[in-house]
Amino acid sequence: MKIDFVLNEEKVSVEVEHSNRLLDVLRDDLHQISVKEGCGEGECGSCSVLMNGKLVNSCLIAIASVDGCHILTLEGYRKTKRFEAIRKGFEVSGSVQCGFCTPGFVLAAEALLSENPDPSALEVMKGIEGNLCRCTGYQMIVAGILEAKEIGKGLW
Amino acid sequence: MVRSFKPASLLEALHIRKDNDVMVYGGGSDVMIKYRSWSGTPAQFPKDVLYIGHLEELKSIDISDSEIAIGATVSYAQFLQDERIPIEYKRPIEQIGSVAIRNIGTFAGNICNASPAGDTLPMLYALNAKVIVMSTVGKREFAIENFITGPGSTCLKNDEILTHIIIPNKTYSHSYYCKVGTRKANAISKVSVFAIADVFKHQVTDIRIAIGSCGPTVIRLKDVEAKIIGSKMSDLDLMIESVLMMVDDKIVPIDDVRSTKIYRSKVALNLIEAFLIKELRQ
Repeated sequence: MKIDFVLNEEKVSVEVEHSNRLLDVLRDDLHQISVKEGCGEGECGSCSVLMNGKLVNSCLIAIASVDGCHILTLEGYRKTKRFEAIRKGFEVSGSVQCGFCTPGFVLAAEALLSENPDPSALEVMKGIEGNLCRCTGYQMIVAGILEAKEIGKGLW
Repeated sequence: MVRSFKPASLLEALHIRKDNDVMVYGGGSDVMIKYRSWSGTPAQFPKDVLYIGHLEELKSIDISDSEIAIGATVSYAQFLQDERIPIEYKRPIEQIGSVAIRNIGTFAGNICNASPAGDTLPMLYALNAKVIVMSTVGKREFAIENFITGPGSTCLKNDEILTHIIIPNKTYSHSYYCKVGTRKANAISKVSVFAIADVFKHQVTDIRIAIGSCGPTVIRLKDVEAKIIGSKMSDLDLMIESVLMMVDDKIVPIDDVRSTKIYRSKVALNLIEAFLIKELRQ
């Protein structure tokens, strides 16, 4: 079936099965390779994207339910000033090692900061509860997000 | 390949449900996992799919002095953000899944999935929640414990859609929720307990306790509740042993991938003891 939606502020139209996962449509049809498949069952957060501004796992979304929605992936988000703040925060804190989980964490951070621009460390942990990282041990990611909120003060 | 339907209204959805053998897709967080296939391939739904997650008619939370009516497509996140809802009702919901899951998951999906480990269910059982289902010919109303008939099975007929969940708009002097899982986020519970009580002048005037993941459905401890109601707080210490024996008789936990029978019994009894002996005193 034909699905129309807005990807990174541009209208797109794809011809796919209605039960295709948003994850696969983004990667295979629309070349959004920042969206990673980890567990494929909503536990790891590597496939996180923003759907109408809200964090979702794209492996748990059938494409039929995306018709008419706004989807933001890291490919779109990286053009923003907010991304720059998160990038710098992650850089100075050593929040990235292998990098596989990073796109998901960046979008989880955006979802958190857009709802709460001044989170405590505990609130940051709650905000990234659905994202798994097997390298950093999380402390550096929490530090990176806390750093980003200072660097990007006023952006959220 | 199965077909898909995306109705513009609830009425249209009900007609599609009546005229076709379709499964209902709300938020997708359960069915997309249940019917997932290989990476890069569509989910293998066993029959045609009726998508209802977009229906605005079912996206509201209506609150009166006595009741809260939750529409079938209201997400957990929407419920948590609603300032009119009592805090004790939010505690189990804020522990469900993760941020991303709570943005798409719904009460209606959790109920229709009818898992004994469903995270909304102990609370709904304890609150005597009602479930409204509709078809083209009318609506039926069930008590939650009558609606869910076993693991994965409910009274929902093929031509019906669950449209609303009704809970009382009330606060309680005491409330308690504890979910035990492997991880804080995104865990399916090994054992969970939700309880509420009203204590007035050192006397328990109302108490309701429900346990998840310890039987084929969530279990409500009505005989235990009846035994405790009317008791003085000072009597609870003396009663606790016989109360816990009653609980032990009532629950039927099993060994499975997530936990063992022995662990589940022990933890369920510990949680209930913690509620009756510690929490009720505060």
